[in-house]
Amino acid sequence: MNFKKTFCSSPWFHIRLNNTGTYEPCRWQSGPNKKEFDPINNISNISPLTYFQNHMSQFRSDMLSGKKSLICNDCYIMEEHGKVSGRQRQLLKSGIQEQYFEKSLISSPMKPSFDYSFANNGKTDHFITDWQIDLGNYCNSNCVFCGPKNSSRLATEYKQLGLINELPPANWCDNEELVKAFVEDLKTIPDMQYLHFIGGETLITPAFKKILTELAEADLAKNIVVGFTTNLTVWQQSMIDLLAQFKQINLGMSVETLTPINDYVRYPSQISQVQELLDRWVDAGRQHDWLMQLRTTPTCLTLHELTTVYDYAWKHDLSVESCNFLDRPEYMRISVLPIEYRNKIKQEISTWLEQHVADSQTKVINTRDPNVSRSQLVQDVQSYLNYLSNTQDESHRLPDLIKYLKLIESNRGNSILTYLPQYEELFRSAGY
Amino acid sequence: MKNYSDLLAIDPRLSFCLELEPVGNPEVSILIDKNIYGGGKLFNSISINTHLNALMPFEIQLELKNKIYDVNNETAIIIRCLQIDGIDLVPKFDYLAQYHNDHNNNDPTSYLGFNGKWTLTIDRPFYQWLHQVTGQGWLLS
Repeated sequence: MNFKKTFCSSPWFHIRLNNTGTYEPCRWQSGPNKKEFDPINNISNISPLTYFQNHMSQFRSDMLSGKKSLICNDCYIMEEHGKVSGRQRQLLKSGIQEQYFEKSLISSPMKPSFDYSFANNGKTDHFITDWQIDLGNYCNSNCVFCGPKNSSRLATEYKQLGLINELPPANWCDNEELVKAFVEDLKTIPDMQYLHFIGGETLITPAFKKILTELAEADLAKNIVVGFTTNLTVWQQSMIDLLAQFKQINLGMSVETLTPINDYVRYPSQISQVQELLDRWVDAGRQHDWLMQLRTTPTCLTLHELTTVYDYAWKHDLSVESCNFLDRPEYMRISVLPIEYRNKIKQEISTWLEQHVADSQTKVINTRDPNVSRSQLVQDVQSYLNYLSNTQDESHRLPDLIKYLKLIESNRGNSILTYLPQYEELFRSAGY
Repeated sequence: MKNYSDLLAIDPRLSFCLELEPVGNPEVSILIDKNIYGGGKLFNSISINTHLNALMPFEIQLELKNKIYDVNNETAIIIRCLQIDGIDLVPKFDYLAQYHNDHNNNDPTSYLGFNGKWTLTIDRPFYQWLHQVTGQGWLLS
């Protein structure tokens, strides 16, 4: 594979701290080598900087050797279908643009860091400037595509339903001593620029407020950009005031559709409340000049009404982003939809694209740039059309989907057919 | 390019192309990265093709001189094309050029009709500059 298609600069400035306190090299990491809990590379064992500068050396060496890495698979898939990948975004942060790859790489301000690692078996003397901090699974939602590791409510429900025997391991940030030590680390690591937090639901996770408060009290807020995602079920004015002290906020707002199916998928949210809070957050974001994005996790249950989110984004000049094309659970992949159902959605998406023409045809990699939000929307919607056209039929997974939905519905007392009557024949044929 | 060591084989030069069209017979001086490219009166369109260092800042400066407004009112230089590595900088980045002239007309333009200097400064390696002026977001160092 071409170096241009595999190289990523992220391992020179980014790490992820997952729910168990385990360090991971990338927020987009996927694949079989992903360790949910690693006692060695863990915040309770080593400092983030030791992990980053030394333990990630092999990963950087592989990157410089042009090796295709399994953990980068989600990015390769996104690029294959024309969606902007994490790799492309991270390259851009170091000044490397794919269309000018070689020249922009040799011109990159990070070139000396790449050279250093090349000469030192992947080690780096660079610092971590871009963090993803997973705050654990404390959440007030039971989204159907989520899992116990990312939702405490879903974990409880799964245990009740017999889908899991044990609750997930404790969240690292439930340990106050670890949080305290981590904040001290953050205060001393030079050149920290971006902290991206995810939950659970960030706004109800005590560590979120604690970390931000301590950074603000240490007079560091004015130098730090904070990113986080909320599920649009919570509003706290005190958090808005705290966030406003930071240099910049990248606000992600999770929603799947602006129709009632969102209630089923993001159970137990209510679309009227979600819509109201969405408007409030957008107003607050405008007031503070925050960068805002709608965050989606499109599944076979929501793709047909996904354009309602893009309509809202178009109207409000927001961008829309999803981490990847959903891979797990497998039975919720978009590709589970049979061809005839896909064709109908393709037609609707094509119609949307015909009605929404962007100013620029240039590929947008900096998807947070509000000046090109409409081009980004068109580009992102197009990626779903590509995905629907090019991925293999996985409708053999429908019985697994139905089995899962029936099980959770037995606990929730709802029915997918209330929300998707047009899929009744399909779902009945798969055992509903 | 298969791996990082192949970077050694990359030509670190930018291809540069400038096309100027005269209106009347303007007197012009052309300075590209501190090198003078001709000068004097321009009777026909000219095209300058050269290479610049991709890793160094540089400046492109065009000067219209000795225009006598009462006599040759229609004298001017038009920048028909300014390309680096095939990327058009004019008219898209006209607004980044400084145009100091004897009429104090500083509107972004690629039509140089006044005595004075039009200067486009690439104040960092070209692709870092491009990153910034095209709004590509953060540039970590």
